[in-house]
Amino acid sequence: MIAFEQVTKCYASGQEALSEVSFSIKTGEMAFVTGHSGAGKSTLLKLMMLIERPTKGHILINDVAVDGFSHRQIPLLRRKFGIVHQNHQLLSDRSVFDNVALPLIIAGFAPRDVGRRVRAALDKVNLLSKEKQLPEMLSGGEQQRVGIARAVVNKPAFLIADEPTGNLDPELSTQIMQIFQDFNDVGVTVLVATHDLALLARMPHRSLTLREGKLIGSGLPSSSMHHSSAQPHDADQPFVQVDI
Amino acid sequence: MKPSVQAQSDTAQSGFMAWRQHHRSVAIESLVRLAKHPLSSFVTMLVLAIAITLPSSLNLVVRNLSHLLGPESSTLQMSLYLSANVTASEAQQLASQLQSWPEINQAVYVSPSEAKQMFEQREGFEGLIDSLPTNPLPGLITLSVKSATLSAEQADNIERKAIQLNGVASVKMDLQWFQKISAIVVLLNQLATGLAILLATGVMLVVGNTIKLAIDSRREEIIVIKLIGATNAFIRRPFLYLGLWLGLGAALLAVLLSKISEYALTYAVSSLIDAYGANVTLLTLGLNDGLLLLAGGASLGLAGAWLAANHHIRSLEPQ
Repeated sequence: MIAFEQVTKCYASGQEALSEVSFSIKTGEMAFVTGHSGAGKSTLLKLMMLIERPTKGHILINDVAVDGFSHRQIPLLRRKFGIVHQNHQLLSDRSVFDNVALPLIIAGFAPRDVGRRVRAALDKVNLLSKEKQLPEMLSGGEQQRVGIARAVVNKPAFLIADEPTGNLDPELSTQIMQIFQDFNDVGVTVLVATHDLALLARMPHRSLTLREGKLIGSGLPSSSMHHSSAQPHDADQPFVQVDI
Repeated sequence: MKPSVQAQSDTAQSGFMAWRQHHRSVAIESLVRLAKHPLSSFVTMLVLAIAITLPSSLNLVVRNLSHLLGPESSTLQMSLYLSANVTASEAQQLASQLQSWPEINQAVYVSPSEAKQMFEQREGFEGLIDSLPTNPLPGLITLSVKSATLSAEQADNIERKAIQLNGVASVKMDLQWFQKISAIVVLLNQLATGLAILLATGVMLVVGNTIKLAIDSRREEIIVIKLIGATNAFIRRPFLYLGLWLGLGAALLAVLLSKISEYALTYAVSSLIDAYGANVTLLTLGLNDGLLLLAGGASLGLAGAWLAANHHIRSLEPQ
């Protein structure tokens, strides 16, 4: 569960990026954050990862207020999230395999488990055959899929994506979204920030709409019906066995 | 053992194994990174090695000086001139009394007539005293002092105690020479210590700067793995190993440099010693000294890396 309670974020420059934003995303739900650039989407995601701290209000992850976490607690919080960035954030001097293995090595997995899990994650995004290549040898869509494999390899409870389809053509965007949908289908809480409204319209999920730092709407896109895929799960068992 | 406990200990064990595995791979990776830029790595190590060699060589010079010239090899001599009215037997008694002092190695009585004989053996003085009506030379007790651990202050104390004895007219000792030597040795020792502190700081700064550059060149990677949930300790690890290898490599080079200069110096010094016909052996850099240098270099490298990595990694945060 991710919950924002009256969260306000002012930057040192005095700019108010978010203003008294409250919402909650249930465990197992998939939702979008949308709005024009500068509306506060990135700030919202940064607050969730504790890249930034709220000026006012509280952020709860699985009912724990994390906004007061110490520096030592932050890494453990971030391991609960799988993050997909618009620009992939892959390490250019390491192979696809090594990039995807990073979260597991950081979390201290035994070497024999690392290989098994990395290959399962790469298989899930159809890139098993490219594990030895360097990221720059892959196409944009493939790089994004490597980013997704890295985000899910640790079986995180939450999958967060910041404009994951920003640089991709519509067909690839649909593919990427389908991958997120697949993870959501097996119980992962998914939150996608995007301004691609056409894409949103085709997905039957709630979207939180931001405008100038204020939450102006949080409802289903008008064109779609409720979808049955969002099944709430016990917070203690955030990730029901996914076949990756 | 209950299955769940078993499973828990298995997890802990595999966690430890993973941790060890990570240390091993990071240690090797850091070495490989150094080897990828052999010239710049070597130059850095050479700079560090010179900084380590300077104080350690000076320390060796000091140790040799105090070994060759210091109190261990030369004993401090003191002469007690007796009053004219002291008889030979009284003087002998005085000598044996002095002999019983813990600081005294040997006390020998030299009678006026013996003194006269010694005096007349000198060239140009033959028959000089015979031409006088009486022998003007006083009786004398020569003391050799156990001076291995003697300070100038303690030597002063002995002098003061001796002059208060009955029948002793005056005391003379070759204290100046002794004081000069010990003052020089103390000075050189302080110089070596000061230099060691300065250059150790320099080694840490150079290692720290190298680590800072290494961190700068990997800043994007650091930010990415911070986002994925890497702890500062995890991020610091490769840089600590880098510092350790730099320090260790520098210390190895320093031992090598010391040994080379030692051979060159021993050759020069021994021909000098031979010319004076003295039979002395020089102290050289031993196994213990070498190990101490290696341990010192490694810890300085590690410490410098620690300080720099701590500071710079903390300041790198995802934006």
